[in-house]
Amino acid sequence: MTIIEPEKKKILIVEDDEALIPALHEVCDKANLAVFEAKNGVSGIVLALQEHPDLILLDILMPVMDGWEMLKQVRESGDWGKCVPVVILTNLSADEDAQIRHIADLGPSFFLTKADWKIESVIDKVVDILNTPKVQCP
Amino acid sequence: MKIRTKINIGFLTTFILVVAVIGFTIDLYATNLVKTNISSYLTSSNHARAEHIRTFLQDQKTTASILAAASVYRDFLTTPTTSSQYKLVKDKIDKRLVRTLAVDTQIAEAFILDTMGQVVASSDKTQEGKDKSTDPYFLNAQKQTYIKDIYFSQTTNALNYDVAAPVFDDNGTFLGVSVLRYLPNLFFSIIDNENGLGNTEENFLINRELFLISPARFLGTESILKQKIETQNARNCFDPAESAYVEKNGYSGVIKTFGSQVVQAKDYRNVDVIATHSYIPETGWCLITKGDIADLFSFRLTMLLVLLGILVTAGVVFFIVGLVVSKRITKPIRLLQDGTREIERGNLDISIDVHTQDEVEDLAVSFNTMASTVKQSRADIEKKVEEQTHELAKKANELEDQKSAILNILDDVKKEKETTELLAHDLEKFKLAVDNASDHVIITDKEGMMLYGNKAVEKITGYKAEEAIGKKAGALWKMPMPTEFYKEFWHTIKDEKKTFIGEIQNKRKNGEIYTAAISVSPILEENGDIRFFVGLERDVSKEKEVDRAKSEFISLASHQMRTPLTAINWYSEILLEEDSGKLNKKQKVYFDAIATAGKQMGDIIKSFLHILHLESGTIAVHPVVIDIVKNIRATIKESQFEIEKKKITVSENYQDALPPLTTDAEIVHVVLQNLITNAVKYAPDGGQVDVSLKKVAEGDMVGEKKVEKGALAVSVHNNGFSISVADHDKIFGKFFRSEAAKKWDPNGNGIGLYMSKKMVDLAKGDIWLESVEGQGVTFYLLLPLDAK
Repeated sequence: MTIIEPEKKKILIVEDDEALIPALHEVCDKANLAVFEAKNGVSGIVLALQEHPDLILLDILMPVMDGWEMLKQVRESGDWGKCVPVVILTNLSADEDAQIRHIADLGPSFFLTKADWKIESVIDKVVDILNTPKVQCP
Repeated sequence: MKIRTKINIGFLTTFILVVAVIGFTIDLYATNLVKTNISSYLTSSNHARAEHIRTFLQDQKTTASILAAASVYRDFLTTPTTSSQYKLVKDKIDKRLVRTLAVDTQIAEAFILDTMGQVVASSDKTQEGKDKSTDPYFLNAQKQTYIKDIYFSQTTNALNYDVAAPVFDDNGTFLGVSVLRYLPNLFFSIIDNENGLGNTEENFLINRELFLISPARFLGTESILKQKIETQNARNCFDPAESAYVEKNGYSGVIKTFGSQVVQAKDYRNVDVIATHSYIPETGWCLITKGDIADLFSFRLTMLLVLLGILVTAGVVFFIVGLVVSKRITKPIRLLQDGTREIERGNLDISIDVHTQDEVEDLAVSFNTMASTVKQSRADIEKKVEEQTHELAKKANELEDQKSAILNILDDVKKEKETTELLAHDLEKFKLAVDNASDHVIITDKEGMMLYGNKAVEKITGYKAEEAIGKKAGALWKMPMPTEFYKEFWHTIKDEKKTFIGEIQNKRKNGEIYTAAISVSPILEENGDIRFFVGLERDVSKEKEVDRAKSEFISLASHQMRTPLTAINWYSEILLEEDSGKLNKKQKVYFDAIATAGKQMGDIIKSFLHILHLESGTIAVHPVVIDIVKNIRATIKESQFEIEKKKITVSENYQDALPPLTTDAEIVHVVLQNLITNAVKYAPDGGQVDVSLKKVAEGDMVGEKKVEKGALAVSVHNNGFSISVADHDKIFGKFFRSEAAKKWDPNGNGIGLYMSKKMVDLAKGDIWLESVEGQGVTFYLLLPLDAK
């Protein structure tokens, strides 16, 4: 059982690419975040509802349940789900029609293309969001 | 027809019409009036007579009952024959009976019946002892007075009617019946009285069995009780409701209750009559009064004859007056007519003498003037004809000359025709070529009405060329396009008179939708007016389908490539951070190389995706207000590493107080990035890059181009190798690289400028290059102030 220090912010990483998880885990540790991991949308939603993380780092293309479906369920789960900041981290292009529609519907805070972003920049963004006082969510 | 005759006939016709209408009206009115009078007269006369009859009958009934109440009757009937008094009593009654006859000559016989109906006393002794117990006057008169219908009596050998009254004692016990047998002569004279209405009027009575019981005018007395009268009046008279009413109320109000009893019908002679009736309740008879219609209305004929007389007399008078009047009116007209005939014969010296002091006189004066004018004109015309004949002779000569000239022209025209036929032959060849072309070719007039379509029209659209010819081009197969498209289309081909090239969606006859690349060019007359439009259309659906498949593939491939690339990038980055262990120098250099290669690969993939979206048209422009100077500076900063490495001098020159620029931020960034990285990349070591930005207005020059509307102009110059003019346009093509560029850097991918050009087009800007041998290259970028 992981003992979580109370002041630590919780981040949930939902990512199916085994190669990328350690890298993300490492930078999150470095940024002093409590990390939870899920390898698809289904385990992602279970962990999300159980832990109510402060931020979700979410891949799109995943087996079992994709990121958009999971985000939809999180948004519909209640007050916490409606407001939790979500950063989409994917290699799909943001300018594809399907993605644009989902972005408009589900309102993630950011939509980042993995290959174009340094991991350092990704984590800076995450920390930025966590440190920003919560504005009223829609 | 002569006017005179017309006037006469007109007068006469009008007169006859008027008289006929008046006559008809009078006749109708008079007939109606008389009819009403006759009706009312008949009714009142009939009622009066009926009243008279009733009174007469009632008197006789009263007489009978008074007689019956006499003590002589009672004494006689109460004294038995065996009594000693009987003889005295019998003698007394006999005397009374005889006296009764003497008093009233109409009474033929008076007799008495006892309670058994036996004649116990009579003025005619032969009758005594006879049994009358079944006779109606015995049966009906036991309680009240009764009048027996007229009948033929064997005893008196005449027509009789009987009035019978019962005899009672003081206690009201029935003792017998007193009967008075009447002769009807006096009674008939009441009925027979004439009313003074013509020769056919008569009154007669009928009984309940409809037998005639009084003499009728046209039948002898012998018909009484033999002739049956079955007319409508007879039937109405014995109508139970009507007879009951009369019995109770008399005749007043009977018309009001049952309507007029005057009817038009056939009588017993089968002659048309007007008749009415009254019911006589005392005896159950009916009095009928009637007259022949022909008789009653005989006045009508007289009246018509009088009218006719008036008509004829007046007609004759009118005719004579008309003759005189019309002769006076038409005389001057006839004079005019004679004059006209004279002129017809050629006598123009005529003058008419009319003094009627009206329009006809005016006409005659005009006529005389005309005659003299005509005389004058004839003289003039003769003179003119002579002149013109002369002129004609002259013209005939000229015509002869012209004829030979025309023959020469005809010769020329023949030659021209041969040339045209040759041309038509050429056109035929052209048509054959076009007919079988695989692209759809149509020719329209300047309004876009289709004149020609080749075979490919049917192959592509499914509609036969013949179906489409005569309609607006594309009317059958085009799909609705945005208004701007059509505006642009017509502007290009009609106003600018240039070729329009574009892509549209069409619909085949079978409903299938396809994409067509079209090119429409105006064909101009020598004076520059549009004569035709020639439209070429190619079905590019298949190419589009291939494009789409390609795009999908690239999209998927890019994602698949990016995934492992991410791992490479992130781990080389983490390793270079040295958190997971110190790297030696060599290791650091190698990981750097990996990181750089990874970034390049990411850029290439990103470019591919950009092009993909550009080509499929899925990139949308989102214009926002941007700070262009800040953008340029940031872009230069991205190449800082290279700039420093190659020791390149960058000079920046930005105009102050620039207007705000509204355009797509991403597009501007990608284009600037391409221009600046290229400038740095192709500049020699220690070379020079100049970046400048200024505002330009319409008509200003940017490089060698004239600006068409207000914009911001960016120029990026380097002093590297120059680019030959032949390559200036090609350089913006896909995957094109100039020979010099290939030599300089073999690793370029040839898509940067292609992508930039596409993006600048989207932002409604312009991009081009200018290069002078030995002075490097300048790229110009024009961005409209508002890309909306």
